[in-house]
Amino acid sequence: MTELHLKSTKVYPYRRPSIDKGYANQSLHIDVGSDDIETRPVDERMKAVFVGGKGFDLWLLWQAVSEKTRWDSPENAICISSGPMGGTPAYPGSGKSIVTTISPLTGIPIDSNVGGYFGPYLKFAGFDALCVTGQAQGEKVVFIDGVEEKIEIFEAGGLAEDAYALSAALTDHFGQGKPVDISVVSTGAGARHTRWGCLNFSWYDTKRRRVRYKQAGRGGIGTVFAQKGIKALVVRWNQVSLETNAPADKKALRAVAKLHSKEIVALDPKQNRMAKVGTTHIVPIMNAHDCLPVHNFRYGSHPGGNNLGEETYEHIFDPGFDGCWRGCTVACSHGVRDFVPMTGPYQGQRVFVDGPEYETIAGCGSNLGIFDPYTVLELNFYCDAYGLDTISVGTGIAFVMECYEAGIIDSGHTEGLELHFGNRLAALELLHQMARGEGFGRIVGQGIRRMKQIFAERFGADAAMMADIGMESKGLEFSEYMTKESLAQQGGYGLALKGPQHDEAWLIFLDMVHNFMPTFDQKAEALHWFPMFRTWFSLCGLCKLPWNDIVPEDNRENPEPAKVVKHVQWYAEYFSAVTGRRVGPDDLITMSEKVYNFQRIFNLRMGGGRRVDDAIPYRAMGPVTEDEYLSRQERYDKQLVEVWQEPIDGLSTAEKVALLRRHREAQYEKLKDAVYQRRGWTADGIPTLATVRRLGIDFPEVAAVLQQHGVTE
Amino acid sequence: MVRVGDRLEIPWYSGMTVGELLDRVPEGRECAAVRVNGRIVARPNFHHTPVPEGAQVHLVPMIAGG
Repeated sequence: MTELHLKSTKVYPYRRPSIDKGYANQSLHIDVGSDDIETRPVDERMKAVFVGGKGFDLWLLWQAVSEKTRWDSPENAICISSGPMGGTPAYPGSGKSIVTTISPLTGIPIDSNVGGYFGPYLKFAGFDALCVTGQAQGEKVVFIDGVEEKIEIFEAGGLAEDAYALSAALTDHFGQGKPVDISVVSTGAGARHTRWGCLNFSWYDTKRRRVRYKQAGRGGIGTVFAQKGIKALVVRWNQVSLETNAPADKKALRAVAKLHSKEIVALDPKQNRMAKVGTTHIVPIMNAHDCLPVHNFRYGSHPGGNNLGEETYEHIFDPGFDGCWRGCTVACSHGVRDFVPMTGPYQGQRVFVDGPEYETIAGCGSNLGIFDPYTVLELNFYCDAYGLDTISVGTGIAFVMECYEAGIIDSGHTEGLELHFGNRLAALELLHQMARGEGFGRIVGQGIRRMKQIFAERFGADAAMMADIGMESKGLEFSEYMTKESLAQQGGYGLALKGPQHDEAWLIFLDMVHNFMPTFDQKAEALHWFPMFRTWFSLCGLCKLPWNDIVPEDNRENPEPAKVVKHVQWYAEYFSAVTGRRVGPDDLITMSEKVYNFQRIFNLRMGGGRRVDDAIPYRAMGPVTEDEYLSRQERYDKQLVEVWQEPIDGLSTAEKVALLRRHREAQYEKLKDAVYQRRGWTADGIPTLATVRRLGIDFPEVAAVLQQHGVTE
Repeated sequence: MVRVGDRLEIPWYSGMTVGELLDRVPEGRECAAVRVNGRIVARPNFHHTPVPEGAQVHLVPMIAGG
């Protein structure tokens, strides 16, 4: 057992409740400033309205904060919850945790859906949700021991700074010879100096005998974690079977789980092959469709793009089972053994890298003009070790590189770093600076929204140009898909509650490739149904990959193949079997609508949540520069003539860029109108009173927020 | 012959492209990518990627992923 310098400051014994139909029926509240610990009941109304997972998190967060709370206020909470199905070992993708907090990037709630064992173990230890508030003096480790039925808080000194060494030491220390019983949540040095801090959630890989990680990446949750002085959250649990979650109908659960699991085993090897290649198969497909971000989303393809795809990484990944929860047959969490970094504190040492996935490849690879798969691995490794979000790091450095190449900033501003696209050593140095809190990296780590302000105020940079090319919305950096040719996906990003992350709606192919939704009403319907169904996974503790990344062979013969309705029906049966609440597919959408609208009103309460907040940079809609236009001139000329009947003979490229922009910006506003109407919102993007009444979320505090913002009908 | 999925067999001819093959498959028009003998071919490349004789082709779902 690793000896650590931990000083116990609080011990809280408790009686672990029996799990009942997927719920422990209580939440755990810890103030790391005062060491106060309490449990609170989870009642039937909370389950009926908020279901679990993200729903529970948002409700607890709502109660913890006020409209004056900022990300670094002591009362800001980090909430973690799995959901009623979380921890089911037989059904693929059933081990997720959902984390929320008030984001240091956006000032509104952020949510992140992450693998690893923490959420399920937390529930089995007796708590549907954990809500951590306060601000510690020094650093704290919180240990939730479901086996011994006690919670202990420690002052921690001299623990490792990076996430890998820290989680390995804590797993060894608390595991008492059974490391598989432990899951650790931690961040790293980067979280202390930037707003891009992520959380690493651990799971123990018994075959490789090492701690592995998944990341709650988006929105700076790790930054809040570090600011609170939390070194780590550790949970211990020791038995997982189909019975552990106490499903209402074990026979029905076993039957539907077997159907889905068997289908994945049969079809994944023929389709996306995620059990072998993770999500790296997406890279060549996006590259071919002009949707892989290259050079800060200027272009959608590059001859080097395929170097970063499955044909490369399949040979680099360490073969073996890589499920981030037990029994998952998708098992896509691959990693690389014996990688040797060329820079930084691990230079020359053999390390294990968890990843990369598609988003990291596109963000830290093609979007930076880096097409060397090993440099992407190194950026991936250090982002995780430093507790940094690979998506925001990728999109943020891409913005800086374009600013550098366009002469908006120069080497005087970057303190000598030559941040040309493709300069992999400069990208790595910037990352190390973020971890050390030094140099230009300290500015970059504040995120694109604040960089734009700093560059304009201190360096006299062109604010209008930066507004066009800085790929953020609501303060969050875009994830890694090109949206210029998909209006629906522009909405998928711009209308997403937390900011531009693809987990709410990913409609590029349905829209751009298949043309399934040519009208505004059809796009609005898609931007209602898909975000609602995807939200449902985060209410229940589930991963969305088994839903539509492996599809039945007869999917085309079913109505609405895009929704994969056979699987939607299976999920309704799964929910019914666990909770005992008999539901059908439409009920899943209604469950999500309650939480989705509540979150929108939460945004409003915190100063966002209006039409103006759903704005996106023009780079997401069309070509900003003449070079971009000329690179796809045939496409854009054709659209101006055929779609908008514009006579373009004699127009300069600059005039055509402006004309195209006028049409595309108008389209986006029209899309907003259609979506707001479909969702039952005002023209300003606020849920109406009738909508919240219909959904049963018209609590006095919700109605009061609407009234404060002039919504009375 | 070219085998599409587990059930369908399509006669092969010299010079056959992925695009021409998928014109003969009911769900071919709704497909954004395929695997030809395990390798990914995306729709923009369908009409200039040849299909080898005896190939095994699988349709890759990419309908609402990400």
